Amino acid sequence: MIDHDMHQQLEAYALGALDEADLVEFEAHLADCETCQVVLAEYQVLLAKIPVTLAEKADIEVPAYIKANLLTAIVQSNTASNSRPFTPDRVYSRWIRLGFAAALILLMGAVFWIFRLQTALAEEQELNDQLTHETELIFEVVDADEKTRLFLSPQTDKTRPGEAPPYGKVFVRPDMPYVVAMGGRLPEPAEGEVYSLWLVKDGETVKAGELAVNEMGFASLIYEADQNGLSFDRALVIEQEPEATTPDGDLLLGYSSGS
Amino acid sequence: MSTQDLQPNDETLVHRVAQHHSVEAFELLYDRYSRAVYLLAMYMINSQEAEEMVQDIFMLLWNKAGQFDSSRGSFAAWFLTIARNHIRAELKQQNRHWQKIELDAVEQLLTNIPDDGQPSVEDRVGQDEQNAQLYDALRSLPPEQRRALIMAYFGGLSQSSIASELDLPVGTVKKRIYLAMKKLREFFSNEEQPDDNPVETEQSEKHYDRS
Repeated sequence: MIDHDMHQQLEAYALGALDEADLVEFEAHLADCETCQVVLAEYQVLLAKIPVTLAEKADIEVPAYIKANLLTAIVQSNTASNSRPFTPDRVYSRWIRLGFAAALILLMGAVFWIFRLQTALAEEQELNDQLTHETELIFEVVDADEKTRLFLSPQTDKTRPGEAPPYGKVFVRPDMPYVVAMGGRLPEPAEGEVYSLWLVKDGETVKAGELAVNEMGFASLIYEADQNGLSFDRALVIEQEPEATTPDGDLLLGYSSGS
Repeated sequence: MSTQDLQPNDETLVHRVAQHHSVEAFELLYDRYSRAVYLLAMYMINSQEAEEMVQDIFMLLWNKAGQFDSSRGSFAAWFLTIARNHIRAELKQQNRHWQKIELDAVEQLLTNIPDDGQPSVEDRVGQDEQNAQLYDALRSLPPEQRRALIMAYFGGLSQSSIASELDLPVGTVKKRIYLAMKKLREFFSNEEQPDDNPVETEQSEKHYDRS
């Protein structure tokens, strides 16, 4: 292919629309063509502006719970990393310092209060360690390159007020025994009931755990199986009493390998 | 000086995310780009899955901020390319095809808003002038070129797939994409440098000319 023709492939390349057959040849050309490299950079800026531009015109709003979930997740991941340097942005830093100041006053007060404070701190630390551990596990599974991801689709008309139907995902890593489940836009379960995740394999069912819904409608759980890379035929999120021992109740979300 | 002028630029913010794991900087980037990423996901997949896609993509930003290299381009170009590639990879992994309904929504967004030629002050205030120019450029494309562009950009389709969908020769699709992209770039260049780029003639569209 002559250079003139090759140059004309640049627009399709920038768009990601080049067919495989042309792609390798064009990338070889691009590596040596400074003109194309410069123009490609211009196209990349231009193309990046398309969604920004349309978003200014479109009547859309990003649901607030997404930002809340993200900030919660990254604050937890920040807390988990002790090696990171202190920065003024760490949102909990002021509270931690205040906590230490309060602890100092109490320490000077009475042995009884010292004991109470130490007990409370130990409990909080234990809870924090548990949350940190869970967050790290979730990221390890969800962010893995080699993972299986299954989609849980809505099975009822039940939704949060004014929102789209609920959804869910289940992640499994081939080299780990953990099954991570997440749900979004989950409506509040009926009083006295919870959402339980059930996994079905060859007719056998196992209750993986309870999806505790937060105020944003988000929930996650980690289930530790007795083998790595657990596979299953069906996954069901059922609204039922917490002590239920069978997958009976209102089906909210479901995955089936046959569908 | 506008409020925007007082805010750190994108490159400063992503640097703070990478170096200091700054939640505040991340939040500012989220506020600036979440609607664009959400729109991208809505139109490339569907509105139901767009929400979790936004979460996935911003977690990618949190985890990969250190990979951004300002010498290779702007943050917006880098991040929205990552976003688009991530969504395309998702579609490919799920072996899903393009969504005609969602692409129609893009078309409607570009064609249904009345073009009165005089945007209101409210429309322009706080709106990036270049974005307004790009919007005008997209609207001014011939419908068949715009359709091919949208199918490639939001549908993630290759030229031969577009040709197959539209029952056209591949050469025709190639030409439409080439002309559409070139016109957008020219429109942009003309708006940015009105004295350096006289309006090109139709003849100039027929021959490649990077000068």
